[in-house]
Amino acid sequence: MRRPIAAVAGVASGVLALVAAGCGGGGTTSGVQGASHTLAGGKKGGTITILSNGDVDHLDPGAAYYQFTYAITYVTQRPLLAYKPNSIQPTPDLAASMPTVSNGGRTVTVHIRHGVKFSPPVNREVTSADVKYAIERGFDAAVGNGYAGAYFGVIKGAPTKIVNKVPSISGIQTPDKYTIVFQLTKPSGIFVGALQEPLTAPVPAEYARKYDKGTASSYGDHQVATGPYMVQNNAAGKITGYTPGRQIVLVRNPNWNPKTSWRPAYADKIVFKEGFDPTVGTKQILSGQADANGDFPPPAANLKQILSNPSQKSELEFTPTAGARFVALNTQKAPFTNKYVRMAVAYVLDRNAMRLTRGGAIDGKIATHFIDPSFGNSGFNQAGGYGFNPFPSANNSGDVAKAEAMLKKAGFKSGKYSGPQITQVADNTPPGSNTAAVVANSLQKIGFNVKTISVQHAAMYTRFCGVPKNAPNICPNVGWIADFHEPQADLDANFDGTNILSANNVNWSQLNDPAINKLMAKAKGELNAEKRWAEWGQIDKMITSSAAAIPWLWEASPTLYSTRVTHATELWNGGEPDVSFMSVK
Amino acid sequence: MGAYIVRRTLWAILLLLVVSFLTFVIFNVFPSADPAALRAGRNATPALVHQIRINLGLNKPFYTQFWIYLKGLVEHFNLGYSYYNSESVKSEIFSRMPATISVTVGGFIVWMLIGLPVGIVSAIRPRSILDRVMMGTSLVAISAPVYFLGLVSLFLFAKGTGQLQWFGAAGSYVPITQNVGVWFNSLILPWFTLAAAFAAFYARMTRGNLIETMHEDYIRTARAKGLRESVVITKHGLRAALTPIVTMAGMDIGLLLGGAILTEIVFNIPGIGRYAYDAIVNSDLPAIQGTVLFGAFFIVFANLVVDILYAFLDPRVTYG
Amino acid sequence: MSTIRDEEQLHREGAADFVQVEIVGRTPWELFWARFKRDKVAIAALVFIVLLVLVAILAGPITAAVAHSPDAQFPQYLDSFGLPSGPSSRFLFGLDQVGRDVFSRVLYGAQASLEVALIATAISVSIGVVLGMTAGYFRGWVDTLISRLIDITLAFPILLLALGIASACSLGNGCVAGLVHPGLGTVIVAIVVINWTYIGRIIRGQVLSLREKEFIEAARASGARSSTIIFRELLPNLVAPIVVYSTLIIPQNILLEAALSFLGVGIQPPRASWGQMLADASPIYSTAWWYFAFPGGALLLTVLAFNLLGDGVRDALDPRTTT
Repeated sequence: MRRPIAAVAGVASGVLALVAAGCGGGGTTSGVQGASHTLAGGKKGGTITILSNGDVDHLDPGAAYYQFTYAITYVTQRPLLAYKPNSIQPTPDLAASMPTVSNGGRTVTVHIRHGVKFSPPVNREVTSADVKYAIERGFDAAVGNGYAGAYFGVIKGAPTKIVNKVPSISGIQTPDKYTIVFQLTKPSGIFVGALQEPLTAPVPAEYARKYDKGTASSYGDHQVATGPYMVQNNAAGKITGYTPGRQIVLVRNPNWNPKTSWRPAYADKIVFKEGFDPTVGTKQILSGQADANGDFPPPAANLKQILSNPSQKSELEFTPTAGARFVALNTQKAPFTNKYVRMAVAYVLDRNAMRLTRGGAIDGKIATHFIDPSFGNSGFNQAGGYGFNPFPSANNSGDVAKAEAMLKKAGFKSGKYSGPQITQVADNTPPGSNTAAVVANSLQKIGFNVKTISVQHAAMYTRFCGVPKNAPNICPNVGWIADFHEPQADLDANFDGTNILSANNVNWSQLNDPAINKLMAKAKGELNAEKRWAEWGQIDKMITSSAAAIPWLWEASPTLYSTRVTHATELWNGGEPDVSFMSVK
Repeated sequence: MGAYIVRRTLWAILLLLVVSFLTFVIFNVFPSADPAALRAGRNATPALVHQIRINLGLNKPFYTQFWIYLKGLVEHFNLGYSYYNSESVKSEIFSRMPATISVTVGGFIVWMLIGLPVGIVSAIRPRSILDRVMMGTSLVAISAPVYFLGLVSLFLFAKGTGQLQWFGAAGSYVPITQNVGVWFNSLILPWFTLAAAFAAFYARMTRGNLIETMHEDYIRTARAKGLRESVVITKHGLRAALTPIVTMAGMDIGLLLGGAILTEIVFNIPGIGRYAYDAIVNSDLPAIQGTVLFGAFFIVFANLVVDILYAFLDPRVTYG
Repeated sequence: MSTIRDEEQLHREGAADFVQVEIVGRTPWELFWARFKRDKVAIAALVFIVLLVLVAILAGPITAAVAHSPDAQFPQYLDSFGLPSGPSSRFLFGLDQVGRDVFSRVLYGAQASLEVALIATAISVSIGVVLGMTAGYFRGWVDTLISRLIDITLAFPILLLALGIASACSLGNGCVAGLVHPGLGTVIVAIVVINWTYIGRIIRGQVLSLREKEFIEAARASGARSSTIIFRELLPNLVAPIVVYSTLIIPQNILLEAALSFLGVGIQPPRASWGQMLADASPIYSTAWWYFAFPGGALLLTVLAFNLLGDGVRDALDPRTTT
């Protein structure tokens, strides 16, 4: 599972710029692009510039949990596994080979490569103890990792809640310098997939411990790298290349050994320039002053222009994002405790108009359930594919008549809702604010009186939608991106009843359906991939039919490149350009 | 004179104290939510909120909190810390000062260069066609909001997006140290947009003041003495008419240096005003609070300077 | 504060000329009206304003008759990229970014702007007049207190203060135990807090000179109470500056409300407001010119009309002004 889709605090923000599909990979809406973009044979040298509107969340690999940050994290740090551009299967990165699973799924063994070194000032070779420390520190409140419990809580000895120091986890064993053995409390179908999370990137304990002390770790400000690039620092290890909100400078890691890595790392230097208005940034990329967009999609008006210009069109890549955007209905608060009222909403929402607020058909396909098309036969087809649409309407514009029929079933004889006002908490900037306006408008057609509270994007999560006590009836601007290529990552966090927290809750619908919970528990421990995918497909159908949340978009994220660079994209990490594969032409 | 200056300075200091107190009340006391949680930014972990609570002294009584706040202000000019950006508000504001100064000072020069001559010419020939046209245009300029004028000028003249691509577009600002040409080009539209309303206002004021002054007895005397009209106007009329204008300009600059918000937003100039606006969009309370305080300081300071200048310029001033 | 500075403050508000007028008994309205009638431009402005008020009041019936509801969305008329279309026979002023009729929203926006400006002006003028009269008549510590209060208020950067208040009150449950939320209330509060000071100063100045006149002395000698003197004797003589000042401050308040809405802390969507529409237009101005042109033009014309009206009223009340 991946953290929620966060919009950029800017004018025409978009999702964490999800990736652009690729040349030859992923399932784009328009199929495979031309073979003119290759990932091999680039020229060494030069500087690449990436533009963004907002900032990264945390440079510390143990805390980073944001699409845009991953563009930096994955090229400066080496987790055990990683995704090559345009692929949906992880490849060993720090690991020497794919992990082996034994003991009925309760033991996972990983061998790491020899000769991988930390960047200055640590300089020594990476050992298994460094991976152990990296994962352990994720459970420390001072680091504040957002997924440690979800994916790594299944390790024996892992804390069951966040603690105030770096714990020692007995279930992570390091029999020798290059071997890690994970002992799990129960079999987990997705533990291997989770090993591509940045939390598994090694952190040198003797160097980092002093920074991890206290209430907030400052390791991020002194971090060392294992990837081909590093954030520029001084001799003492203090990061000098990061000016918050302005820019991040990556330089080559002198201790990186290309023989141990499949990353070509063509460019000598990569500069991330922040604070750009999407329209201005797009123009700069088109004119060659910058090379790609980092966290904003080109605004719809620019996309229209680019698509009508053949030479510009070839610089645009679309990538389907894994996951969906949806509207969450609070199932614990009237009137959405009643499933027929929820179904009425599912019927009446004008998904087509909602998609228009994000740029229309080029933005992706209308979602009819939650597991998205990029999963193909590993969940999407099992969930019914494109054909499963329990709440159809002509042109996906909403069906008022069917919605009214549902309301009648719920007890509203006239077919129109006649209860008290309902509230939705929405983004205060476009396009989220526009999408919320469309949602309110659709609901008004069947008699709802909707009050919209507009707040800043992060506050929407941290103060309202993510806090059950304060949650409104509707959270229209939410969505989810899977952390890795497993349908569990698409559904577990948002719809498992056991995942409801009192703060930072991501089960925004507060769905707690015993039948669904039971099936999820079974699927989570299913080691056979085919069976697992079939089970999650079934779960998707159940969730969609309950209308606890209404999916409306399987987004295809546009990445625009300048003509001076070759293209490369990452898939799961939000369509960010993988700068270790980009080169100046 | 000395006593006057001392009294005005003491009053300014008292004013600053009261302003600090009111800002503290508005941003710490008024909001119904937990002040620490409001400040904790994007990643409000319980540990962080707890830390903020200690820093602000929220478990202590009200006056202790204010004392902590005041001490930080006076000793380090600590305007607060923005957890959203992981930057102190003070350093953010100071790093953005050059941009705001560029906009403000440039705009000031433009509006004075336009407004004063227009006002003088209109005053010399009141109720002529020229006067009517100029005053009419001035009225329109005053009536148009800055952001509307900004959008219109961008629509017409901005490179890349405008109809006639003459001047720098929104967001093309670079610091003067980086590239003087681009810096200048990016500021032309903002300068004229900002200057429009002010130029109009000053034109009207200059005209009104000068007309009145020209009715004074000593002007009649000067004329009776046989002095040329131009000498009468420049040596006698203007001096009295311009004094209040110069002092008002001082106050306007003081106000704008706190951040010409609307202009900076429309033209995407990374100044203090833009910082305040971003802070509001992001609900970054410490940043907003620090900027309001900073702006108020500038106004009080500018007022003090103006009052002291008055003591030198105008012997009629009553010390009280 | 020196009297010279007070005058500069008055110059600032454009009511400077009025200071020179000698107040001799009640102003004959016939005289005023005769002079006003001769000013063609001011009459035109008055007519425009009357029409605007009518349109604002009748926004509902008008839009129902010739246009569409301001909240109705028509995504079918957006192009395939979600970009709005321009003026056409169906949508006189084009569409906005979610497919709403700009013409209707401009009319309803007039409603919002006028409502805020008139209410806020009325309240701030009332407060300013009462406090100004009190300060001017009683002098002493009362005067000092009120004058210092004015100084403190004016020390704050207006827009930033309004923004700060609105922002601090938009998180969680608002401010002052939920009384202040972003929206109409905040805008009015912000405007009132700032505006009362200007008229307070002017009225105070007027009262300071009026109270020395014989008719006030006579009233005092005859044993009238202070409140009677203030409201029966002073107030009628202050009607003229109050009227002039109010007509001058209304356009400023319209602009202030629009600025706050532009910055997102004024009138909240989905209620239409001109400032909000201009903010929405900013990212798409180059392709959707109608979206800033019509609300902006409406704003410009409205403010201009009030400014012209104010000028005309001032000229008619004081024949010595040459405009």
